[in-house]
This record gives sequence, structure tokens and C-alpha cells, in this order.
Amino acid sequence: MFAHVDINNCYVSCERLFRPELEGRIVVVLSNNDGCVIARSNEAKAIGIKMADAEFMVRAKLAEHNAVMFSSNYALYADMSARLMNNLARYTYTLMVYSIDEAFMALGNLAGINLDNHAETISTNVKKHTGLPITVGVGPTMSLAKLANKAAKKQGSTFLVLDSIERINAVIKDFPIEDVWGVGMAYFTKLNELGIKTAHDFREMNPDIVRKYMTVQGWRLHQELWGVPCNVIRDIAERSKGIESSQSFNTYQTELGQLEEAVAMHAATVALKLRQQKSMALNLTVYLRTNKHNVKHDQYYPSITVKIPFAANSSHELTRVCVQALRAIWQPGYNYLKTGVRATGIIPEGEVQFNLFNNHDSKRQQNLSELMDMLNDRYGRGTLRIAAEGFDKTWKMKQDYLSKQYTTNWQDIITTR
Amino acid sequence: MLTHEEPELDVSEIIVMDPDNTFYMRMGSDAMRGHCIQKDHILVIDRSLKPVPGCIVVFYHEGDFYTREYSPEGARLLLKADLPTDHIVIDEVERWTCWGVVIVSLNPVIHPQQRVGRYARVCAC
Repeated sequence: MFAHVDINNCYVSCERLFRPELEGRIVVVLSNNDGCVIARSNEAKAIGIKMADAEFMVRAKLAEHNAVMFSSNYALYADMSARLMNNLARYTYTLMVYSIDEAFMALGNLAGINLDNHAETISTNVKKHTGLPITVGVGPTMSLAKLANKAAKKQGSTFLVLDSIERINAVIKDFPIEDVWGVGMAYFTKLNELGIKTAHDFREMNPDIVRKYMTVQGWRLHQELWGVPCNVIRDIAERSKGIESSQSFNTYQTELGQLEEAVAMHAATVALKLRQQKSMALNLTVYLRTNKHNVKHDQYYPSITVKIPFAANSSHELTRVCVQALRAIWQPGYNYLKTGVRATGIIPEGEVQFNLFNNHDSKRQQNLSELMDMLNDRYGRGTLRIAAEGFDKTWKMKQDYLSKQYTTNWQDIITTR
Repeated sequence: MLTHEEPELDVSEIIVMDPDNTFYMRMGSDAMRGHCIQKDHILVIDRSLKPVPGCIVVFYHEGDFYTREYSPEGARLLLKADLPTDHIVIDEVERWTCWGVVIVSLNPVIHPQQRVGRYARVCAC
């Protein structure tokens, strides 16, 4: 079984945690430069504010409704996201961070465990501990888990488990086909022509016809809606087997400092390869080897794999993580012959953006470039990284409604009475 | 013989139990002096702990965050300070949410004259 977890109205929820009085009020978060709306509270959705609405177009409407606007505070969102992901990791051995506000978890064979209780526990505990409201969708495939999540939100619930054919049937009956994960504009148009309106209609199609019209990708989705897993976490995470950079030393190395230098170099090489193939890594493995052929020496072959909270491909980030990882496994007293860095969980740079785009509502006649800007703002690695290092150094952008860095800057912590 | 090198002591090991669910705030008043929390102390707040009667909590009430002693009294909730004038009584427990449990208040004892250079940062911000 799989779970798909996401933060409800992520950026708005992050802002509300430190401004609880905004609960129940109309809140929107604007893109970089305060250009357009990139996150909305349910109340904002209710008055018809749309994703990617330009700020100047909705300014009057928001003012009229006494709404609260925020500039994007990526330092805050990135920190809160990392907290969420680390909390989720406590409930699974395999966590696939899919974007800043969503992740897939492999639940494995939880024989004898009541999945409803389990999903509710995750949603209640994580909400309480992080302060972020989340929704948990559970299903036998990743597509159904994601569908369960969306259906849960429509029902106003914090979790939904699709663990029987009856439950699946009940939900897909009215589930709009355009809301199914992986159904983009092109497939939607094609399916519409064929009279396919719901996930149920699609599932009832002849698999050969699906394959003919929608290639193998559509066929996989079709299988997944029948409960046959085609996407496994590894499949999506590891498009290529991994990228490795390693070396055997000419002479034995014993000192941490020298090994750090070597590991930093390998990390930078891996980062470069990732950037060249326009991909990012979710996991980094650092390993050390002594010479197993030298029987006189004590042997030690440690290896450590670190999940990074956001897929990364910057030299800076990879080096930082790898050197930390090395320090965790290095032990004095051994003669090391080899070290290396391996990146796994490799996803295309554009994947998260592409998927958000696919999930975007079907009436997307808005200016495409503006939308792409918005997506870049939301998930672009540059944005996230630069924000973490502080906006002022590199960017001079318009952010008139920026909240404080409550969790990442001592000057900005809240004062209580 | 191997040299044995242990990682050095890090004070956060005994202050922060659950870093993913720990937040920091600053005490802005002397309402809790009697509870050993003075103005400008940095509070270490753990959201994963459940409040128990007598513990110190941070809560949000009508526009402000407060640090008080958690004292449920039947249907109502009393949030105690040193002086009754600083107590807060919440009748509708429904509308009340505990923001987090304070597990440590950092009390710097460095002399003000010593607060120069990087020492200005000792438990302060």
C-alpha cells in the first residue's frame, strides 16, 4: 500500500501557524516579485481567486474582502517542509519527497493494521507536531493514493483509505478524469472526445484502446486504477540507476581532513553530472573502503545514505550534505583506500513543475509564460536555494508583504507575553 | 591500538529532544518570573509534547502569544502567571489550542559588561 501526503494550502498554512488569527480569513500568497497568486486559503478559493491571478487584477477584490496578502517567504516554507518530511519519515522506511509540499510513502505490508486508524494517526499527529494541516490518501497504487488524497479533500476529510474494490469504485465513480494524476491537457482533450468524463469511465476502457490512444504511460495509469502497481517509488525516483563519482587513493588515507576534500570533490562532480542531464537527486550515499586484500589491516566498509529534504543538484548543497555524511561514518585508525559519492533517487529537474502543471485546473487559458514563471517561483531550485541563504544578498525583488523568518532567524522569533 | 575519539559534547543534545518539532520564542514580560522565566529569555518549545497540568505552555489568545502555566479546572482553562492579574481564563476550551509546551527557558548569567563582540549573542537575540 502507498500513502500520498500533502500540506493543505501549504504556504498559507505556514503563514497561519505563526499568525493564528488568520484562521478562517481570506489569505493569499504571492509569487516572487509579488506578481501573481500562488497559494490560496479555502476562503480565497471560495470568493473565486484563482491560481496565477495577477496581483493587480485581484487587488481590489482582495481589499474589498479584507483579505491578507503575503509575499513568498521561501525560507519559512522550506524549513516547515523539511520538518514535515522528517515527521513523515518516522512512519515509513521509504519516503519519496515529491515536491515542497507532497510526498509518497510506502506503507508495505501492514498486515493486521487498521489502515483507517493508521492514516488518521499520521494526519492527526503530524498536524499537531508540525502545526501544518495535512491530508493522507492511501491506496494500493501511487495513482490511487494520490486520487484518494484529492477525494479526501473534496469530502472535507483529512484522510481517505482505498483498500477495497468497493471503496475504490465508490470514489472513482464521480472523480473527474482531469483531476487524475498524470492526465494532462493532451490526454484530457483526447479522452473528452471519447466521452470519458470520470476516472471510472477511463478505468472501464479496453486496455488496448488505452494503449493505442495514450501510449504506455496511459496504459500504466489504467493499470494503476485497477490496483495494479506500475509506478513503484523506486521507478519514479530513480530514472537512471544513479550517478557515482569515486576514486581509489594512491596511498592509504587516514585523516578526516583529506577524506573531506576528496568527498567534496566527488560531490561537486556528481552535482555537475546531475546538472548536465537536467536532473536532481533525492538521496546521497557516501562510502569508505579499506583495502580488503591487505589482511594485516583492520577492515571497515561504512556507507551512509542521506535523504535530502529537497531534490538538489547544486554543488554547494551536495558538498555540504556529503561532507556531513562522511563525518558520521569516518572512524580513526583505519587505512582507507577508496571513497565515493553516489546520487540516487534521481528525478528530472522539471518533474515537479510538470506535474503541478498537469494537475492544474482545466480552465487554464491564462497566459502560459506567466504560469510558467509562477511554477518556477514555486519550485525552482534557484529560488529555494537563494531564499535559504537570505534574499537580500542576491535578489532585489518586490516583497511588500513578507512575513518574518520565524524558524530560521533568531531576530525574527516571536515574542510572547 | 586505536585512538578513541568521541564526538564532542553538544549542548543541544540535552535541550532539544525533537528538533523537527522544536520552535523558539522570546519571553516578552516578567509575568512568569516566579516560574523562573524572565523577560528576554529564549523559550524552547516542543510541539510534540502533550500538556499536563502544571507545565508551561505557549498559547495564542485574542491576538497575542502567551507563556503561562497550564491549569485546567473542569470545563474552563486557567493559564496561570505569578500574579492573578496576569492569569488568563478561557471558558470555551474548544476555541483554545495549545501552541506548544515550553521545555526549557534559557537563562543567561553573563555580566552585561561582558556582552561584547560575539558574547552579545549568549542566549539572546
